[in-house]
Amino acid sequence: MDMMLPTELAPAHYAVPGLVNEALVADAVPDAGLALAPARLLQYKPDGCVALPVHTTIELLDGPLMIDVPGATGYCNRLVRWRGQWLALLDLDTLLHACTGAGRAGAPRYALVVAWQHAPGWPVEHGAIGLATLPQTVGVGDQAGCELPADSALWPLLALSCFRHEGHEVPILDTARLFAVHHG
Amino acid sequence: MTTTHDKRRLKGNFVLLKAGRLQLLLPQHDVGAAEYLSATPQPTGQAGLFELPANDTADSRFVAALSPQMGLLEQLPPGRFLLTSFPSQAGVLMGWDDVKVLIDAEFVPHALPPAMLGAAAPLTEYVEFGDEVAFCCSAERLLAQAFPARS
Repeated sequence: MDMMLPTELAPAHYAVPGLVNEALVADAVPDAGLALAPARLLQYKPDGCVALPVHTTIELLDGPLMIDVPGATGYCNRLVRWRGQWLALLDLDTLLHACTGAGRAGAPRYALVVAWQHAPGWPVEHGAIGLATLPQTVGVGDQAGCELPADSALWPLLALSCFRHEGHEVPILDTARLFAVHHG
Repeated sequence: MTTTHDKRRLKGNFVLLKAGRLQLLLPQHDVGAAEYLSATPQPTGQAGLFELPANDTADSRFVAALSPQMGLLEQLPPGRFLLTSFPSQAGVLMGWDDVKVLIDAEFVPHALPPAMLGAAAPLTEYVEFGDEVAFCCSAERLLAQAFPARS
């Protein structure tokens, strides 16, 4: 298991949808022949995973301090303590499959701190994704690219690309798009 | 009392209201005088709303307690013995675990992230007290969240 430690952030990068390597590697050069790009694989429900570019994942918190935010959206209704800041904690399953957010999921064991920039030179922002299990790091090549799954209308809004891993479609998410707006 | 909100500073007199893990920071002028719960409130038939025993000088008054989501708890927890009224809603009191009046206080408000804010989000900012958080609120928003049918 590759544990995440604080890493230096690469510039934000927006890839052409469908190119897996470009979606995962901040400074990838198109058609440069990169065989495998590293991806953080997050299991957000028992039979579903998403991936994040490694350079956007900062730190994994085990049992962090959390505070409920009354009246917040169903998929993002807790703050989590990290390095003296309070970060929004996002529940991917609720976001993707129950956007009305009528219920409130139990507090997850882990919080994965992620970072993004809206544009090069802009401030780095942080948020957190709730997880029940530890993330994995896998290598992904363009040949694994596939269509987005059809089980959520939000995939095209949130995903940079998608690949197939162990028989399942794994969308690669853009962290900025996850946290920047209310997906009501 | 003047509450100014300039250049990321909240200044003025506030009341810090604690209900379980929920802490709310309201302008002092939004909150009436605090009092102790001195008698057992009686159920009213409306979930989460209890009637205080009337005395000779007062009209009927009702008391409620907030859940962590700022809804009404069905039962009044024993620790919520501090009551505050609201000038904008006569006859309704809320029970709290703790009430602190903060005179001439100054805070740095932090905006809640956009992903948290739905169209009718009752809270949009918070302030920090060490490792704790208090959400900036008003009596109007508090009561609208607690009694949605009345708003």
